[in-house]
Amino acid sequence: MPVSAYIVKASDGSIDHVVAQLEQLENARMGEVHSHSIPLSVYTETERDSRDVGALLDAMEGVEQSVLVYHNFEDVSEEERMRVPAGPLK
Amino acid sequence: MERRDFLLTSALAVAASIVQTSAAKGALADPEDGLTWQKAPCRFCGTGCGVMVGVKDGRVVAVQGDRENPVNQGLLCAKGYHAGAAMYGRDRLRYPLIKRNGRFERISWEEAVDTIAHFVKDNDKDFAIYGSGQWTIPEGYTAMKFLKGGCGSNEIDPNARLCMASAVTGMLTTYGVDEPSGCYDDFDVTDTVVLWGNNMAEMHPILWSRIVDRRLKGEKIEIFDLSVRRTRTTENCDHYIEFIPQGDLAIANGICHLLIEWEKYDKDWVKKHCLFRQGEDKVGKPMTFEQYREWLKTYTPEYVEKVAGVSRKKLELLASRFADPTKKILSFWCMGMNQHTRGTWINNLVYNVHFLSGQFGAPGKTAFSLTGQPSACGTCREVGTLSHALPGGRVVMKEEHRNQVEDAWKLPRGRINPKPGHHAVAMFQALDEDRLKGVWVQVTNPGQTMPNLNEISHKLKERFVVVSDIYPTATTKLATLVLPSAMWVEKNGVFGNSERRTQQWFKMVEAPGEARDDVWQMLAVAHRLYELGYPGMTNVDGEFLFTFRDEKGEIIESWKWEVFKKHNIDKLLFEEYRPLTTLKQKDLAPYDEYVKSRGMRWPVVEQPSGVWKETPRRFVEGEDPYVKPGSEVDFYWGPDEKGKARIWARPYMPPPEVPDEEYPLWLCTGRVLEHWHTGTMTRRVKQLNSAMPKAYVEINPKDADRMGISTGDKVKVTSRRGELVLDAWINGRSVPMEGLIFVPFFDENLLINKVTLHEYCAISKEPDYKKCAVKIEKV
Repeated sequence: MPVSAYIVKASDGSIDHVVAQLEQLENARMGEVHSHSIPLSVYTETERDSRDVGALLDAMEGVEQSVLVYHNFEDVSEEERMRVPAGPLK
Repeated sequence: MERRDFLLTSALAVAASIVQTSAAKGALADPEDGLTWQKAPCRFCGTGCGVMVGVKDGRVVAVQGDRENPVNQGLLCAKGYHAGAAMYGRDRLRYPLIKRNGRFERISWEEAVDTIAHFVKDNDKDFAIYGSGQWTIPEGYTAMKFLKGGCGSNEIDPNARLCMASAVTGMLTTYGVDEPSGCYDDFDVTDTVVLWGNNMAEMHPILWSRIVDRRLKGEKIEIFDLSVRRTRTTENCDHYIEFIPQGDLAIANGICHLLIEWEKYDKDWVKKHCLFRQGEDKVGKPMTFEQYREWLKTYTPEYVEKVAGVSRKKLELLASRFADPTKKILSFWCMGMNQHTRGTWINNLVYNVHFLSGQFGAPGKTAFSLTGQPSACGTCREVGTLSHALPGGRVVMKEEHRNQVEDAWKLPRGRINPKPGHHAVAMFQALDEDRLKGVWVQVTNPGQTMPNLNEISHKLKERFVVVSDIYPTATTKLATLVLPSAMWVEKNGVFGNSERRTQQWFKMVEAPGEARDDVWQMLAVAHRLYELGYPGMTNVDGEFLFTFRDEKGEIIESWKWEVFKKHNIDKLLFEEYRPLTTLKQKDLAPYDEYVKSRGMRWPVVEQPSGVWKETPRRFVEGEDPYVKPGSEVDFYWGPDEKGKARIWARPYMPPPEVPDEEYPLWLCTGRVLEHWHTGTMTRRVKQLNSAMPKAYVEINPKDADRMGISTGDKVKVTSRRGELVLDAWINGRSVPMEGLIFVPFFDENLLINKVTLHEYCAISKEPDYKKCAVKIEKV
């Protein structure tokens, strides 16, 4: 259950449109808009889903940039911990 | 409230506090979250972002940007947020291993230490250490003292040779002392940015966002991107100036030519602060301004267009900005310029442009070499872990310098060897040819990063190779002994970043299994040598070379792991090193000052009030305490005359290998946003690895069309040295210029360095990974 926080930065004139899109996100909370920046926190089931949220934010219409500012991964399971296939010593 | 809801609220508070600057300071995630938070610099690039690390039940479980750190002001990039997760890959190395009969077997630390010590004792002058810009300052200092002070050998060099050596020699030959004059504060006041082959959006994303963010606030900043491929950086630039590889030499000279022809150079600044010099080596010979003007006449816009492929219009546009005295111009570069067979020259030439235009030594006006590793500056350049260097800007070739360091280390006269050791590329050649018998590799992965791997790696398995690392790598496969190391906040540390900022952190969690600090590993072997009667590990007082005492004057047996763990040996090493930093005005403050602060930029000098004051901009009056009053800008280590820097006449010369009929394309290699260099850490982070799982080859769409290649097709890349099959990526994240392909080097399964060229800058010895000739075919 990773929990991430982002600052989503909207391009000029797009703030309302970006807010409207963010309101549609599941498992997310939005903070008070400040200038062109919108604070957002999101929880996801897996690390992969968390990555997909980041990509989704970047792809949103009117989003200039999204910046991850907090990441909590205390419940990430053993299955999600990576072993690089090429890595192990032989 | 459920924990999930609690964390969502807490995370939102973090983001809200960053966007509302009034609440920026000190607002961590809710203290009731059950985590303890401590500061550390990020583990990855040379930016030196401040990270707040959240620990729960002995494990790092959360990361957030440090709002109190002026470098990143609360932001981090994707790699930084996963620095904690990078510690917990399933295949962390946990025990010392030795290769016997082709297989690795677990052994004790005692056996590992004893094995290394006996080898060094018998091969002390043929044993090398290959280190890293990811070494902490105490780690690099220990390794350097072990070899240069203990073994009387200079066979030590860091991987920083591969990424910033040209910047070092560029600065030394320009203003006589290493490291930049400017600082990150300049990002906030400049109005014109020139990127010399620098993809900041992916390689230094936080610094890039600091610039781009100013635009979002409505400030006007004009950005020029000089490159051989359109990247994410280009998307935010006003002008893209594409050039033929190696053409940067001609572009810089072309700008200087125009400034002088237009009579738009800053005559007063040049007269006051510069001398002219010509030649191809690092010494050169003097020339006059008139001779320089004459020499530049080759670099007409027509000539620049011919060799660099840049039109007169674009060259004049860029030159016009340097000709405008109302501008504040900031140039950036990193490996795109440093990994260059004329790396020192192009560094010199960019300084020329800034000096001639007076764009130097004032807020927002500077030429800024960025570094790729977290302590390439702090550990490799300041500590002096390069094969010719000693701490405090000293060099082994000078008797006076050797004597200073021998005195500091209580060594007998003559212990430090006056002959520089092999530089990184030559070191691995010497190992290949059995001129060096063994090497201890710490915190780096030369089995993946050395150029032309086919030539230099096949014999390494026959040598005595010790590798200290945290995960299996391409290099551990070649090792005789593998030592499991502690990573980042599993140990104490000090890093020095790109803007001369030194930052400290404390150990926060235990390393897994029997993994131990690299400093301890080196001290343990040094003491075993001392026990074996090896004379180098004894100082003139007859004591162990690394003798530390506690407050009662009792010797701390730092070579014993249980004792080491109870003491802050980092602090003792740092305080031993610190006095040496004053020898070339790179003064550091006491260790405890760094504990209190978010880092300080050297020189850091104590004021009469007892406050330790940092220096934002070097050589600048009012900021740098060593500047002569009334001089405004004072290059006080000027190589020819105190106070003056050099403007160099360095010619355009074609690279050693250029595309031809058989190998018609350029190959450029580099990094990607998601992975830290060879991916040893970042490929253990699922988010990062799934975002960028595999190396690829970027091809210009016109070239791809001509050859019938589409995205996803298998393409064989072949040079005179090797070949590699990769998936094609057309019109992807970046688009290379026509006639050039790009391949990232992070993928251990797809080693592009089997293809790259084994040529380097004659002065810096830094290899050129950015240009060689290849052919491609669909397979």
